[in-house]
Amino acid sequence: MPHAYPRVKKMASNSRRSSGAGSSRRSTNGMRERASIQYRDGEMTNAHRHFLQSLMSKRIMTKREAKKTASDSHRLYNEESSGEGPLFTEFVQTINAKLESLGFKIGMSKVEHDGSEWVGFANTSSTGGGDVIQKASGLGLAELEFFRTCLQQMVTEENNGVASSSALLAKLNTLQRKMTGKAAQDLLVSLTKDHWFFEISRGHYCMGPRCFIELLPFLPEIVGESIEECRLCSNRVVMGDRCLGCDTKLHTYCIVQLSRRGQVKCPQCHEEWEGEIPTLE
Amino acid sequence: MSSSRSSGGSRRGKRRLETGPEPSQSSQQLNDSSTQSGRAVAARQEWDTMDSSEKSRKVKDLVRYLVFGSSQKIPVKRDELLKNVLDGASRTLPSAMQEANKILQEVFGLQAVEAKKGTQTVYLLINCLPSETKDKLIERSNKELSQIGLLGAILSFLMMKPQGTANTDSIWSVLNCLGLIQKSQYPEFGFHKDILSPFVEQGYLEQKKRVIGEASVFEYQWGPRAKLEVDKRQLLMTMAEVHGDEFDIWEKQFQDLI
Ligand SMILES: [Zn+2]
Ligand SMILES: [Zn+2]
Repeated sequence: MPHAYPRVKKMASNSRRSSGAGSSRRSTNGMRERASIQYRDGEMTNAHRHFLQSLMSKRIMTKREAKKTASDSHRLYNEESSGEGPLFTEFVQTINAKLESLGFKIGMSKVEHDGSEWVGFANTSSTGGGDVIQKASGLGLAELEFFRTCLQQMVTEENNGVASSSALLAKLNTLQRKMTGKAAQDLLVSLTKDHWFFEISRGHYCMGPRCFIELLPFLPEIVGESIEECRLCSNRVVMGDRCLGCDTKLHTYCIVQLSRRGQVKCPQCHEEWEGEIPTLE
Repeated sequence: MSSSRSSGGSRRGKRRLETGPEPSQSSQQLNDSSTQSGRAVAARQEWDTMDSSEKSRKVKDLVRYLVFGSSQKIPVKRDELLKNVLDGASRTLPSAMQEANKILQEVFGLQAVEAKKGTQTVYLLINCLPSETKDKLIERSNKELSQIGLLGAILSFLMMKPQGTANTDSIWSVLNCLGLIQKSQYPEFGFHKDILSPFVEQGYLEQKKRVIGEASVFEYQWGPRAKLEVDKRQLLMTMAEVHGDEFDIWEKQFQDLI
């Protein structure tokens, strides 16, 4: 099965810890580490609105990109300030406090295949799973049906989050609304381009960042099946690894995180983790 | 649309332009109408007597509906709003819209503005953050940037036409200068069918069919969104900046075409 994590035998990974991206401090981009006095608690300013508009226009950003955008927005409206801005999470919390009653939120989520963090604008209120995808994507009915079928394929036990395009196209004749193979292939490409899906290896697709931010809470409803929760982060887990002892499924990135703190034990049966411990390159 | 009606429409359009820019029909004008007529007073009362939790639910639904519409960048039709949010109670729309606009402004820095698209009344969400900064830093994808560049070229070209109107062919002569070829697809810019129709859809351009004898041509002018969102002076300055030295050549092109 294709996988984005390079695998090594367990415990070999402990020596490599937060180097590279993780250690770059937020010194240059104006967002500072501690709470700010410039923003009164919970008050929306034009900087918040500007950031929100940017996010809504792009729909999805990497967390790094989102932090940069937030500090750009901050500087845009606070020219005389010392250049120090609020903490990113507080900045987002202020906006989310306002969005909550409207049924929206700025969502942050990790993507299962590589553990990268993304930020997006999400709808939180639903009247049926298909409705959520439709509102978020603006897709037509036939495309929606194929989208849903793709998700159903990805979440099966055997597939563990990844479905091949040939397996997906084979499902076309089961759809109520007809779609040609060419149209379905084009749709896979455009859904990947719009960050709904991710092409993890040639012709193999898994859920992309927008699925995790905009659809994850509704996923059981959308695919018509319950989805397990990861015992380490309590988010739903589609692609992950199972404990050989008790069959508990955990996110690969959660196991990686745990392994950085020492020996990995299964949170369910407390046995030492028998499987491979992946590393993040 | 019947051809006779649409040619009449284009005549009306021209007359409007001759008398200067069309005043923007904002929803505020509607909201101020309470002093104007007994009907508006009755509408206001109908809204005021509504249960407050019912009111706030409707306002929230209205905000959600407008935000979903704008996330696809497609104007929201008044008829759809009435049907899907207000259960057809059209008299309550101005009051509900006023409340929705308070939220849109406070949370999103956006404002819903009423506009005409053909015969339909639509609502567009317009950015209402301070204008000197609002366009500078909104993060945009390359696709969007290319679209904005093209749109800027088309809008500034239209500005220089005496009637503010140009047909498909003369718009294409400008796009040809940018190296684009008519009837090709440009998926990298997000244009799959043709370049002009997404702009018409989003309300940046207004398209009118004009029948001349046997043939009919499409004429384009600034659409409702462009009139409200695009600052003409800023547009020309940006175009000059982007094209730099080329702008002289552009200007000459414009002169030739006019
Ligand atoms: Zn987890
Ligand atoms: Zn276990």
